[in-house]
Amino acid sequence: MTRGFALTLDAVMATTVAVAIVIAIINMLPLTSVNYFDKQQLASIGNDFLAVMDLSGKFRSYIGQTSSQINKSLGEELQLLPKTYCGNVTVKIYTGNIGPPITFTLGNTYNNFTSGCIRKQEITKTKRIFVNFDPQRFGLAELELWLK
Amino acid sequence: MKGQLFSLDLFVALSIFFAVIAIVAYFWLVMPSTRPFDIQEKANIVAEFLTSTKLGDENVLDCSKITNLSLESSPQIIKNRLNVNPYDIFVEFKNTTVMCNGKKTNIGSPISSTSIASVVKIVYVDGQRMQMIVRLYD
Repeated sequence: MTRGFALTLDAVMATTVAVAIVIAIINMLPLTSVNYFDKQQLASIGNDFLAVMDLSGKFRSYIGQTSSQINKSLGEELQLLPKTYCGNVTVKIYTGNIGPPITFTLGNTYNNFTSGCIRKQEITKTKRIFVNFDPQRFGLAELELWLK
Repeated sequence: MKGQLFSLDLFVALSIFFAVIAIVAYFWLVMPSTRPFDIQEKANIVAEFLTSTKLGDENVLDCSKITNLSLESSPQIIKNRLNVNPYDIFVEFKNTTVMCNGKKTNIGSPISSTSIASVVKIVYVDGQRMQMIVRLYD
């Protein structure tokens, strides 16, 4: 009885410590890798890009423009990204009724991407919503970013 | 028989224990685990310092800080103000020809050595959108 108990307790303690260490190491490894910085930087630049486009009124200025004008402008704005980055930006503009009930109707979708980029699997996505009051429009901007 | 089994168990447990200590020591001493993270964080803090602290305007450049720093000729004072010691710093603005006070102003000076940390931020001021690159040098 004593022997069995002593063996089990010992094994449980050893296993617990081993598992805790393995988990700690697995958690530490991403922080020490370059890949972690790349992902962090991708997300950061994605948020910056959308925030600056919104702050500068660029998104709101698209309301009333033609699709070709907006798509061309989006392509030019993507040149703000560092040269080693690829981006695919999509802007959706909705008309809305502030309820009740609240309803949004998709008007148009505009898109452009960095030329010469091949889409990869590891992509970071960021989103931002914006509002225009006159005329009343709601927008959703999405940016996919990846490294060349 | 009982003593032998117990010893084996103890041996296994002690082996795991020492292996764990060895692995932890390896991560603490051998791998430069937290250093890149710390330096990168320092560069991030500089980028945040140079932009507005006003909520919602985090991507707007603070021209007063940039102008004051660019007027400072002593690299050591710039380093002290930005709290980046012991590293050298160069803050560069790209994709624009004008910004604060109508002219483009970099901070610090480029160094030929390879930077050890680099943070890119897309910023906005006076109708201009641009890249701000904060580089720290060893």
